[in-house]
Amino acid sequence: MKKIINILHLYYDLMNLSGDSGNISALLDAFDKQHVKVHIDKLSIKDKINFKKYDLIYIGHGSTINQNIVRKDILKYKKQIKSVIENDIPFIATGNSYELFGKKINDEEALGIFNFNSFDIKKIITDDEIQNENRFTSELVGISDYIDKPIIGVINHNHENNLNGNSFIKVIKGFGNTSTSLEEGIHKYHFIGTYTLGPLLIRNPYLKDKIVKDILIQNNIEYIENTNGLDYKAYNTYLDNFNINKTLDN
Amino acid sequence: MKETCSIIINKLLYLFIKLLRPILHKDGSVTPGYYASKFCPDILDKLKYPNIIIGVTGSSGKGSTTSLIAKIFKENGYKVVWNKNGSNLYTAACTLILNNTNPFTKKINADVLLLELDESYIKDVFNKISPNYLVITNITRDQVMRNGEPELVYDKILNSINPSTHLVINANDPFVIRLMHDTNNNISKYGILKYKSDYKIPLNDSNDAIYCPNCLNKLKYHYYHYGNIGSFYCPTCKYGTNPLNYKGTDINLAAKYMTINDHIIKINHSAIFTCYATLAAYSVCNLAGLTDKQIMNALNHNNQEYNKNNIFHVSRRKVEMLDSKPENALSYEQTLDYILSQKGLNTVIIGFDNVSRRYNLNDISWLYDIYFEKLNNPFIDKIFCIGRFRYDIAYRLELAGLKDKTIIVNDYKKNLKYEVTKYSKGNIYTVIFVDMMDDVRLSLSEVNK
Repeated sequence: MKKIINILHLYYDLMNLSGDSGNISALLDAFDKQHVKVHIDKLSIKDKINFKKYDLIYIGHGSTINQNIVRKDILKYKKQIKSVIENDIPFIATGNSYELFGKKINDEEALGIFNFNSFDIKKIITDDEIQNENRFTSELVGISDYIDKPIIGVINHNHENNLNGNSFIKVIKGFGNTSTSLEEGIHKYHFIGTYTLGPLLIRNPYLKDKIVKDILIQNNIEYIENTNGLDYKAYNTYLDNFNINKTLDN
Repeated sequence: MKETCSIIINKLLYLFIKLLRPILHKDGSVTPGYYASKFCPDILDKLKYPNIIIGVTGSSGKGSTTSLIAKIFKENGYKVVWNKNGSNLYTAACTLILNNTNPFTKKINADVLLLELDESYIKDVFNKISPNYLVITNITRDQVMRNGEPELVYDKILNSINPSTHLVINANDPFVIRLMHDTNNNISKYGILKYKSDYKIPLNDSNDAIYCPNCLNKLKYHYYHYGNIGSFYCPTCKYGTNPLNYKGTDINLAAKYMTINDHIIKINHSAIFTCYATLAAYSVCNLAGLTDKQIMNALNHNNQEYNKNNIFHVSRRKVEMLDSKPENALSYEQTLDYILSQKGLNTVIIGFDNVSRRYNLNDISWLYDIYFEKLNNPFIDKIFCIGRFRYDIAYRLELAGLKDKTIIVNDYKKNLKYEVTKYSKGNIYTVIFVDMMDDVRLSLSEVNK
C-alpha cells in the first residue's frame, strides 16, 4: 500500500491570524506534485489529539488572546508533544505559536520543551511608518543553515524572548528575537519555530520543498525536484523587485 | 476669547487652503483643525452641540453608512454636519466641527452632527464629544500590520464608549456582539436574516471571534453570510445574533431592493455591504426619531448609481473598476461576490504593486484569508494577475484550484489591453489596489498599437 502522509493542523481556528492555512495548502500542493497522498486533520480545543499519528505537525500565528486560550489547552499534551519533537517528527510553528514551546510566556506556564521565556516587548522606537511602539513589525530577510536560499517574510508580534542558540534564521533585515538580536527563531530536532509570517511556506518554496523532501526521504519515497512553479516565480520576482540579493551581498 | 480665536483660525485656514487648492493639492480637511486644537486644546469641550450626535465606526462600511444617514436626515429637512470626504481622524473632526460653529455663540450650526470615525482614533474624539448614538458596522481583521490584531481594534472601540451612548450594532458580527458582554450600554441590534447565497459551514479557517468570550465554547451558526458574519449563538450563554431590533430580509441584489422590518427599501448597489449600510442607517435614523415613512421616502428617492465614474468601455466590452482593500479580506471577498453576481461571462484583473499606502511592509497573508476558491465558476473566463506581486496572486489562484488556462500573468505596463482583448471574453472587472488605478485605466483605454 502506498504511504499516505498525515499532517496535523493544530488549533487551526484560533492560531489563524496570518493566512496560516496557506501553509497547509502549500504543503498539500507540494505533496500532490510529488504524487504522494496527504491526509490533513484540523484539530482544536475540545478535540482529542493523538500526536503520534502524524508525519508533520503545523501550528500558526494567533492574536494574544487566542494564544493564551491555546496555551491553557495545550499544556495537557506536554508529554506527547515532547515525545514527538524528541523523536524528530517535523513540527513547524510560525508566529507567536512557537512561544508555546518555551518555558513561560510572561508569567504564565508554557510547554517547557525548549529553554526560553517570552515576554511583552518594552517600548521600542522605530523609524518605520507604522510607529507602533509595542510591536515588532517589519519585513524580514534572513539566512538559515537549513536551506541555502534566503528566507523572506514579515514580522508582526508583541513579544520578545531570551532564546540562546539553535536559532533558525540569521536576520539580515528586520527584527530577531529581541529588538537588538539578529538571531531569530529556533531549529532543534526537526522542530522549526519562527516569528516569520508571510505565510512562511507560501513565500519560501525552497524551505517548503526541503521539508517535503526530508519527509519523503524519511519514508523512502523518491523526491522529484521542480523549481519552475508559480511559487518559485513569486519568490524570485520578490528578490528582484526588492533587491534582496544586493541586501545579502552587503 | 481663546475659543473664539481658535474657531476663527480654523475658518481662516480652511478658506486659505481652499483658495490655494490648485497649488497646495490639499483639501484642507486636517490642517485647520490641527492648528485650531493646538491653539486651544479643549476647544471641543466648549461648544454647544446639536441634540442629535451620531458616530459611525468599524473596519469597513463606515463611509457608505455615514453617507446614507446624512442623506436620510437631509431629505427630511435636517441640517447635517458630517465628514463627507471621509476624513475620519481627530483633527479632521475638529476642522469639520469648527468650520460649522459660530465663533461668538460657539453653537454648531446643525440639527445633526454625524461623524465617521477611524476605529483607531475614536477615543480622541469621544473624550471630547459624547454621541447619542454610535453605529458599529463590523470589526474584522484589517491592516494587521498597522492594527496588530483585531482584538486591539475591539479594545480601542470598547474603551472609547461613553456609558450614556446608545450602541447600534451589527448583530451578525461575533466581534461586535461582544459589546453585549462587555458594556452595560443601551444596545439596538441590526442584522440580515437568511438569504439565498448563505453557507452552512464556514468557507475557510480564517474567521475571528468564533469562540464565546464568556465560556470559550465555539459559537454555533445557523448560517454564514460571508466570513464569520452570519447568525450565531453560544450554546451555553444567552448570547448571540437574535433577537434583532432591525431585520433585513428578502434581499434581491439583482433588482436592488431589500426589506427592513417589513418595509421595502431600495438599495443603490448590488452588494451585501450596501444592504448592511442601508440597514445600519435605517436603524440609527429610526432610533433618533425619524419615522419608518420618513426613512423610506428618503432612501427610495433619487438613488444615485454606485461607482458610475469607474465604468467605461474597451472594444465594446464593459470595464468596471471596483474597490479593493488589500488588507481587509472580508471586504475584498465581497468585491469578488459582486463580480460573481453579474450576468454573463466575466474577466477579472487582480493586482497590487504595494499592499498599503501607509507603509512599505509586504504582508500578503490576507491573500490566504480570502476565499478565492469561489472564482472556480463557469462564468469566470480569465483572471489576469498584474503588478509586482502578480506571481504571488497567480500561485494563490493555483492553490485555490483554478485551472492554468484561466490564469494569465501579465506585466500591466506592457500589452495589458492587447492581451485582455485577445485572450479573454465578457465584461471586465478590475480588483486592483488604488496605487495602480490610473495606470491600468490608461493601459486599458490606450489606442491599439
